[in-house]
Amino acid sequence: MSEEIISHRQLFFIIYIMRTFVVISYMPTLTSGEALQDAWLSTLVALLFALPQVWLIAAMGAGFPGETVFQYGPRLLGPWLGRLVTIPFLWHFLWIASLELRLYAEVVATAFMVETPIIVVVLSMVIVAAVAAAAGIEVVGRLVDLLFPLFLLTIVLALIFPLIKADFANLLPVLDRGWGPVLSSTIIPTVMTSQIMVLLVIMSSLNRPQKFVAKALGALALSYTTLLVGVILVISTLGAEEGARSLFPFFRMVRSISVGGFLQRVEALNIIPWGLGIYIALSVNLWSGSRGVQQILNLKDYRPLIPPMAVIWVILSIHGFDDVFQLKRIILPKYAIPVNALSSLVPLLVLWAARIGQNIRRWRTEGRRK
Amino acid sequence: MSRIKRGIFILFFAETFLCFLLGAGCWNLREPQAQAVVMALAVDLDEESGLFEVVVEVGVPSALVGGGDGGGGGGGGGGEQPSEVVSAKGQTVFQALRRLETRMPRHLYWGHNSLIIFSEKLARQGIAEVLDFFERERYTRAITRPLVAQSDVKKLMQVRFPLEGTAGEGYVSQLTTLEASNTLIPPGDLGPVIMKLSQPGIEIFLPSVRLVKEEGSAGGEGGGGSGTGGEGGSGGGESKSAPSYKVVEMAGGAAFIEDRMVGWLGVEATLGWLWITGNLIRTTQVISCPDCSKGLSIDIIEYTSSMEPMISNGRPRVKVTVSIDGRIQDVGCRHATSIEQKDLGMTLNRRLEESVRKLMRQALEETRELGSDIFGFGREFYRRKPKEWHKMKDNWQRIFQEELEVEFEVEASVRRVGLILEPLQIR
Repeated sequence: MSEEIISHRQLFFIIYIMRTFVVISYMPTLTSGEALQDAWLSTLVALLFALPQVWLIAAMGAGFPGETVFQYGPRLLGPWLGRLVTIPFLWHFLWIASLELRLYAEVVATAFMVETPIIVVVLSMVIVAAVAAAAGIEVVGRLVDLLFPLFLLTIVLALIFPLIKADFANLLPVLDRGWGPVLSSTIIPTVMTSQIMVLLVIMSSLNRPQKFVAKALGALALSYTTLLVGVILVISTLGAEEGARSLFPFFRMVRSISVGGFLQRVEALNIIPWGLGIYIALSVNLWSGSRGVQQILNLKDYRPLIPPMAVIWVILSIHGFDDVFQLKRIILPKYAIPVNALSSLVPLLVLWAARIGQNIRRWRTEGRRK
Repeated sequence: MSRIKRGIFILFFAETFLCFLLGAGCWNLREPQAQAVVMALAVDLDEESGLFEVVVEVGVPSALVGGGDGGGGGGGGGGEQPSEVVSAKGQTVFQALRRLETRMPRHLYWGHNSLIIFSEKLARQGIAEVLDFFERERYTRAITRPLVAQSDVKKLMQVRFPLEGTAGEGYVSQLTTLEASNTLIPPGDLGPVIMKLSQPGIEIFLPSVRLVKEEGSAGGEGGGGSGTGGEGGSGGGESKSAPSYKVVEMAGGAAFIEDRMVGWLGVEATLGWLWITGNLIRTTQVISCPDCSKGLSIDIIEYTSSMEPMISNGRPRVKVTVSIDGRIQDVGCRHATSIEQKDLGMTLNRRLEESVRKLMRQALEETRELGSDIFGFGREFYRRKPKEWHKMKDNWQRIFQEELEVEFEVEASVRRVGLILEPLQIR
């Protein structure tokens, strides 16, 4: 069905980059709950919660090689119910990406270009992402091959320099207030794992998706390992309370780097992976979204859909959120859980139910035939 | 289709190119040569009006370059001053800094500022507002070095360091040198300060600075100082006073409770604090000979220090363990001739231990009087004995002052004696 092929390695990189830049920049296991110095434990628990989700997504995609969810969904559930169930995914791609985009624009407007109108930041990011999406997922895949070393290098450097100042005693006491606060910090990262939902579309471009499930779990585990190291370093350089109080803890840690009095002011180490990550995430989301619309409406090509979608994107990320407080509020459990459940988890579970039902039916008819 | 595609592509690329051209930070275009580079910042509190007063030192690039070319003689000649000191007042720190620009022909550039001096008045009132500004603002950062001024901050800012370009560079250079060679001040930048403020059971301890003597045109400078001290509002006039050469001393520090300063600690108490917390980098202990009271100095480069909180008989107790490796740097008395004999070495070690213990006891006494747990004994309880800490945390200050038992266990060994063994032998 799909003419474009990406390799397993490229998709592994895409998942790693998409997931890592988000968690490392916002450190949800530190900032979203009350875990404080136990945030590293929350990270491990959040990984445990995230793995089954990613398995559900990847295994669903692996069951239908060469097809996107918008193709096999209607087949599983019937044309109208199938469309109804898969349309929320489109909304999900839109919502997650506009949120990420706005957060990126917000940090640029806060810490780098105060007087630059935020729309310029948003617009330039969306335009480059739209060009990449129009070029196709194959091009994005090759782009990731090119950018991944730079992404990894900057993050690793940003994780090495703070070691000089790190005071690991800040991690004590462990589990002082029990598991409650630890679990409270795992909610948001668990919910936000649904970012990986784009796999339901991209996996159609893999030649052997069945073999990819384990790699998807591996990419997630690797990105949480990166987060784990980041969280431990933030706690030991800034302190747990200061880290939890920051809007962007990793950024603050990078700002406080000073090696021997000459290596200072290296914010680039945070903003380079951030910018690259948002670029990749946006292109992938935009590509997946336009593919989805194309397949739901049975259009011939997805490319003409990209410019109007990009415009909607810009408008949504500018007008969707008023201020930085609302951005912070919107990733509180009471908003994030229902939004994500309705737009991603529930449709996914319906699809699984249909698939299992179909398998059971097939198994029964085969049994009868025998 | 392909024509449409190509059209869209061309449009995209054109737009992208335009965006890169226009959007690359050019909204707030500021040429480096049109900015005033801030070298040091001091914050004071005007008690009458309750306003913050900020004093900044701005480097004068041409003078700095000229001084470098002219060599040593030109630097002291005082033709062009390497920097200018300007001050302004405001209800908040940020407002005061903005008002500075009404007295400056240029935008202030903060990228090179690496020093903040708090006046004693402000420190006693609380530094939280200043720190909040520092954390929030994007130009200022936690790698700035803090100092608490025992002298007037304006005079401190007008000090000229003959070897350094500007006062800001001079202070920072002096701080780093002092830390590396002979630690007499609490080390570090604002990062750990902000961190400690947010952690339970520890108070902050900042280095202090004061002017000790004046040389050269002291009279003229004094007159100028009092003239501008009348706060006529013309802040720009201050820098016109004649260059003055003063000696700046950094020793000891200011102990805080929360963000408010409660008192000064002297050099000995500071050394005790450095020993207990393990922040010492290098120091010299002088031990006097019991027979002739002449000194013998021991340089200490390697040591370890750790504290262990415990509860014994229901009372909180901290055991501080220090182990020291020393080397003899000079020997003043002739009685130490038999330095290689083992028993003398032993008494030397014991005396070194005792002298260090005395410093630590002094630090504990002084801070107990102030009620400021700058050692972080409470934090150590929180980390290692969280259950006990939760029982004590509400009245930790009282417990620190009255109940806490602190035991000092010091083990010293003088391992090296320098290039000669015995003191100078005079016939």
